[in-house]
Amino acid sequence: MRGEPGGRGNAFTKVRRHRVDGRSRRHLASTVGPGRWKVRTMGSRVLGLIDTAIIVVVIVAVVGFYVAEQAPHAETLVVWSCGGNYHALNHFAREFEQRHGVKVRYTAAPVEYLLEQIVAGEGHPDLIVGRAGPGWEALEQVGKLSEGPDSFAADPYVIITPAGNPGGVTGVEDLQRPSVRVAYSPHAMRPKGKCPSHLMGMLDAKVYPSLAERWENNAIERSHCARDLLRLIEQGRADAAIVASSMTRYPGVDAEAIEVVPIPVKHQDMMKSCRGTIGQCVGVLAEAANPEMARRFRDEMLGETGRQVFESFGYIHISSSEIGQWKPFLKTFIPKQMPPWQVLLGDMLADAGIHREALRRYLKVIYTFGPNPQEAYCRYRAGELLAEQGNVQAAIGQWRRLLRDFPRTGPSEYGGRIFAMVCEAPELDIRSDEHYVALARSGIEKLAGEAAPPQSEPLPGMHSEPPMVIDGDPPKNGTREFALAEDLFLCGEYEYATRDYLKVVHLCYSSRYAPQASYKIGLCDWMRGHHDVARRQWRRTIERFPTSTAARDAAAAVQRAGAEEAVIDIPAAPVEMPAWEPIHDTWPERGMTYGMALYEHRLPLFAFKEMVKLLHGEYGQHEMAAQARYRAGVAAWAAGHPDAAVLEWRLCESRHAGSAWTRQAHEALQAARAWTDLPQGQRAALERALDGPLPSPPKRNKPPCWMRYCLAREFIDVGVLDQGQAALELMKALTVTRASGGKYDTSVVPKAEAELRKLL
Amino acid sequence: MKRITILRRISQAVFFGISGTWLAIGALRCPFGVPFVSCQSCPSTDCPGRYLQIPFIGLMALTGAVFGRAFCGWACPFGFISDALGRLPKLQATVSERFAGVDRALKLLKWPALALTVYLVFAVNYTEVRPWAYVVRADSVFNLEAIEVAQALGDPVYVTRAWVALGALLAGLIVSRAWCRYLCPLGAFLGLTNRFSLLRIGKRDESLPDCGLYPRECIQRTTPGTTDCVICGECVEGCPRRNLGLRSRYGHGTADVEAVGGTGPSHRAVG
Repeated sequence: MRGEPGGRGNAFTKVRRHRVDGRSRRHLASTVGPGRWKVRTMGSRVLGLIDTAIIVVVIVAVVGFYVAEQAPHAETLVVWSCGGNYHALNHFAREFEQRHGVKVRYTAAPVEYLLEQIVAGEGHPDLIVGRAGPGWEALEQVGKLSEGPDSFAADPYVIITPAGNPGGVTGVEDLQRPSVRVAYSPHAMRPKGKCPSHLMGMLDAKVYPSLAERWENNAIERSHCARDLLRLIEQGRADAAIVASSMTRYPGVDAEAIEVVPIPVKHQDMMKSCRGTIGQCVGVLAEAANPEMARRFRDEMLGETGRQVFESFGYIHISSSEIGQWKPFLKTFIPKQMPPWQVLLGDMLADAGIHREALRRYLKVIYTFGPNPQEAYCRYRAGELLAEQGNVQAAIGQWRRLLRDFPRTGPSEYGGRIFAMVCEAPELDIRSDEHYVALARSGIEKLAGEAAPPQSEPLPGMHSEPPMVIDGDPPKNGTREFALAEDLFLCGEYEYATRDYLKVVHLCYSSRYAPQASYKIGLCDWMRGHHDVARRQWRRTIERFPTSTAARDAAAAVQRAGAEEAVIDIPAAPVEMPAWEPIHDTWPERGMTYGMALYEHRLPLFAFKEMVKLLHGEYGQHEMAAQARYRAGVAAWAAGHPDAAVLEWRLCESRHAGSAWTRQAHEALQAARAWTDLPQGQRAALERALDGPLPSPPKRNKPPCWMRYCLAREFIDVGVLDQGQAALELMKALTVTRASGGKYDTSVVPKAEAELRKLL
Repeated sequence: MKRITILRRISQAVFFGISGTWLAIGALRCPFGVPFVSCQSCPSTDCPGRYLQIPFIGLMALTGAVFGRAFCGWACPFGFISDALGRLPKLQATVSERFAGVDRALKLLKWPALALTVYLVFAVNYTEVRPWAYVVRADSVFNLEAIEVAQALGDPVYVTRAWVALGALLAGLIVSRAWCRYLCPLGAFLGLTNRFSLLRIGKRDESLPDCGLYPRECIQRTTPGTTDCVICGECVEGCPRRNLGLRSRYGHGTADVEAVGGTGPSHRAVG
């Protein structure tokens, strides 16, 4: 019966019945038989009172603790710092409290954001402590800094190894040995994520070619958090990791289980954008509620008390005898921002109608210099350029990727208000990510009807997506170059994709993407119609990387491709390109190997460009100038510029007298003079080049802006103006070289602008 | 006041003392999207989660295997707050009883909540790129500035979770243990252990009919043996016939475990 015990009806119906019959419930309770514990129902009122009391106690406890945190102290000092300083500074703050009877309210978070809040007037600490990044400059600009910033310590990078150093690691160069298991944390915040990778990238570029790639290849762990590295080393699961010195003294780290191998100052001095992470600064804020106490806190940080605390936490204190060598790092540092300049270059190229280079430039912003705040704009512009060229499928692909990746949530650590305030960058009309998402969405809708239906893969790997690049990827490493090449491939830009795949194989030698890049080079050759070259490349992939999936794809491609021969005519030349065996020991040798690979894959214009870059010192000092000059001539002839070839050979003859290549250049000139298989116009140009004046020699050891200008001059002097390469180099002299290494010489601007006007 | 309520409050208070800081930081400053899950890989160092997580997982596993969802009723720090909050207003009892159908429907929400949480754990906490937001550390859990900084960092993780926590607290004022009953994904997960735990709350004498008092006595407004039961024991002590107790699920009715109740059914009451 409904409502009766055991009857039908829901539980609440039953409850109501019993509540109505309160007497019967009490009766039941009182008639419970003998038991160990009798039911003592004191009623909901009593229980309510007790629970109310619990809440009151909890609230009183919470409020009491909070008040205790605030009230009993006559003075409260509010200290903000970057997260990395947390342990040392928390310890120092607690001791300071005891010494002075004040309360130190301490918060640690990414310092750039704390600084942003202070600059925006949203935070009011008395004191701020952090790495020597650009935020300090911003604080000074807005007048928020009362005193300082004062450097109180250095926190350099060190290598940590398990006790006994089983990997035998004595320096960074050992991290590339195949037997060394390394761990790193590319996903961590900048000081522990990007900066060790940046350090390795810089050492790779300047001292130990392939160091960064081999270091990455040796990684047994790519962690999200740098603290995991300590655990891996303590447990002996990795042989080495690069960490900030202060991390070796974090609470909980077993000092007996790790050994510290210092990284020389000269190596750390090669860092560019991450230099600011080593110096540690403190500043008293202008709006400090308690400036006297803040100054005392700062003074003690800089003094003996601070020395004892910070040295015990792994820092090199400002008063330490070791600090002298770290002096270059004890000042605030403003990194240069490359992405906005690259965007400007892309825009200039697009405006000049050099669309293919503009497309590559926009994609470079994403992959070579990403992540950055300009990505959504660049992705949208890439799609727009492709749509203008009628490549609807690729345009939609770009915009779909834009919709997939944007808008990004949360703040980004690679650009913000602080960077915009203090870093020199061009004025760009870039709007919010949402704006480009909306444009991309409407673009897709417009083009959807024109898009061709998706096609099946005639050969493996035709539709593979680029790998994701992160802030912790070393600069210009194999991952970044491969991702760029993959996207160019998807855009149908097979020549440009070949260039970047070849960079992966030769300039980023030892990259883990080399097998895939090697296979994709063949695929590009195939798509460009050079089927014989494609087949050769695939066979080479199978030989070099026999166990890779790329080799399997290459074997399938060889089988599917059949025996169809090349359909592209190759212009005949009076001389052959001398053979070159790939060498990757030094950067100039890599440059030469890369240039020759471009030639082999029938991209003579770009081979010519690499030779000219070698000549102008882009790859550093070398003894291959005569050879590069001679090869530049052969490449120029193959690119359809016999006059440029003749000029190069004449320059080789005149500037490198005594070299074995001079004789070859002389023979080439004789062969060129006798060469008749040329159209009339080219023959006349050849005659003029054979007997005309020679261009003036370029200067060596130029700053980057002049190097680019001289490159452009050489292109113009010898008459190689194809694909806007000369204009590109002039535009680089005006834009991206402002943010590259070395001092920018503004005297290049009028000259470059004048040349550019003539060209365009 | 029931003796079992006192015991439970003591247990809850002890566990609240141990894990209250973890709860507060998890709700307000955990850098991961789903808190209390990724503590072993968390870069925060001022949160006790890294040390407490494994013991708590062990506790949940053990109590889950033996008692079912007892963790929720006896050790969960948020359950402690919810229990206390639920007693404050008169409103909650009225709401619960008037809207029994709604209550049953809302209880089903915990399953999508569990599914959503599992999805979010994999989508947000375990991503290829760094899964955690910017970490904010502080000298004390009562440092409100640290919470303000976390909120001001602009990361949706902090703001969203703060609103969820506040919503859970406010809902607890209207409906007793609203979060635990309707939305708690951990509770839903632990509720599954009620299906196979060694012990369960059950009748001593199966032949006796239900009196129907369970929901009134129960802090979860449910009946023993369901996935909502948190083994609070209120029904055992509140049963007028002394017919409920902890019983072995896999025995043949012989392993009658007397946890807090009487010695057996009262023949007088049954009569």
